[in-house]
Amino acid sequence: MEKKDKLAILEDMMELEKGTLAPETELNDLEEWDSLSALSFVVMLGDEFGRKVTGQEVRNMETVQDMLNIMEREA
Amino acid sequence: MAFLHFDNVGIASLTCAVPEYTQKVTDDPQFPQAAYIRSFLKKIGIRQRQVSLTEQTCTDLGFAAVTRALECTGWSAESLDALIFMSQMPDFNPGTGNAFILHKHLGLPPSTMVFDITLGCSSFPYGLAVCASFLQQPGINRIAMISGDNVWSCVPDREMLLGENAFLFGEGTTAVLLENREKSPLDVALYSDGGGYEFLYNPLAGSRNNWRHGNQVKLSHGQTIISPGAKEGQYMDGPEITTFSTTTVVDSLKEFITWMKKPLEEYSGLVLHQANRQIVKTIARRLGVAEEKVPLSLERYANTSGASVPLTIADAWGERQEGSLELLTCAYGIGLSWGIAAFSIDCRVIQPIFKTDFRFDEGYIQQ
Repeated sequence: MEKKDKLAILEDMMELEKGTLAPETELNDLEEWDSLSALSFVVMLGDEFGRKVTGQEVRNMETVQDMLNIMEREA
Repeated sequence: MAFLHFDNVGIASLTCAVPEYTQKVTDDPQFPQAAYIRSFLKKIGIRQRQVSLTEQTCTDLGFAAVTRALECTGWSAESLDALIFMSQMPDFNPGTGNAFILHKHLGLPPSTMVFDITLGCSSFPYGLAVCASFLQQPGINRIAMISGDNVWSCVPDREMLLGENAFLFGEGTTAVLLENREKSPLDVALYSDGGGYEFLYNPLAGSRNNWRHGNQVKLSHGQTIISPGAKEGQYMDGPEITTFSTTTVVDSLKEFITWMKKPLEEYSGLVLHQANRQIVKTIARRLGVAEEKVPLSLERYANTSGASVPLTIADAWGERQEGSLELLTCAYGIGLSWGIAAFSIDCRVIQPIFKTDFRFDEGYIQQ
């Protein structure tokens, strides 16, 4: 899966317009990023990538690139 | 391995009492601007809930529920051999469990054994398993199982009760009357994972920190958290609890279904603990169960802790007057603790949810 497809999944998850997210986007700058989006991220990771993530890893995420890194890492 | 099978556990009645007051998410004066309200409606899936503004506890609601259940079955209270109260919120000290207060007010004889079991959202399958085990004894033929927690008693004042943080939870207490009855199978699987106790707990509520002040708590894996106060609910690690509910619990359900050798399609419904809409929908989707087979009471009653599964059964089928259901039920939460129970139930024994402001007028501090 290409990076743009992963960004599209994240945009879809946060109900953002296509092309809104870039790897350097800061999560704190997004009004749509909240604790519930974090839970959607956990569910999406399991559904789309068959992966688990710890609560600490989710809390450590600062940018969209941090999310991409978790999506791209070895299962 | 706690996979339990019983041949003789019949459900004679299932009732649910809720407080009179209905609070809607949209009652908030900030509606529709406040972002949290949109989240509640859309993602968590809660539109309204019942909550007591008159200091009712789950003991009061439990009394109303069990009284109605006894009326429906025609059983006298004295005919109960045992009463077990599933709750993490005693009216007084935990040793004086809620079951003893009901023992007094139902006028039960000393030969009726009662006690509380302290569990949270997972209490329904645990309670069934304990009651079913007692029912194997020749001296025990009828048991009442009460399940419920309060919301208002976990927050310091009414303002906080009606605010954002407390809205996830609603109030309701259920009573299930069980009897030794031939050809009435009950299957239960129970699981625990103490390794996750710090993902959902209240560090200030019990003994461990009784003489310590402040609210910064260092968890065993090194992270420091700000604990809620003893009266401000529980700390929750949302991502960990979501992973637990949507993967570990799903794996256990699959294991149970394999053990039962009964395909999912043969169940009339999958009744899940109403934690939030995303968790309920994700579990159902990952199991491949059609949405119409998974009732949602969450939008009208919120998360009612240990009462959630029986409340959802009463909400979905309480009006139906005929037929019987084959139900697969699953509850999960604090502990971490989860369990699965499969049984059949006659629709006529399921009563519609009812509202009441009943409460006992005793045990209050004089002001």
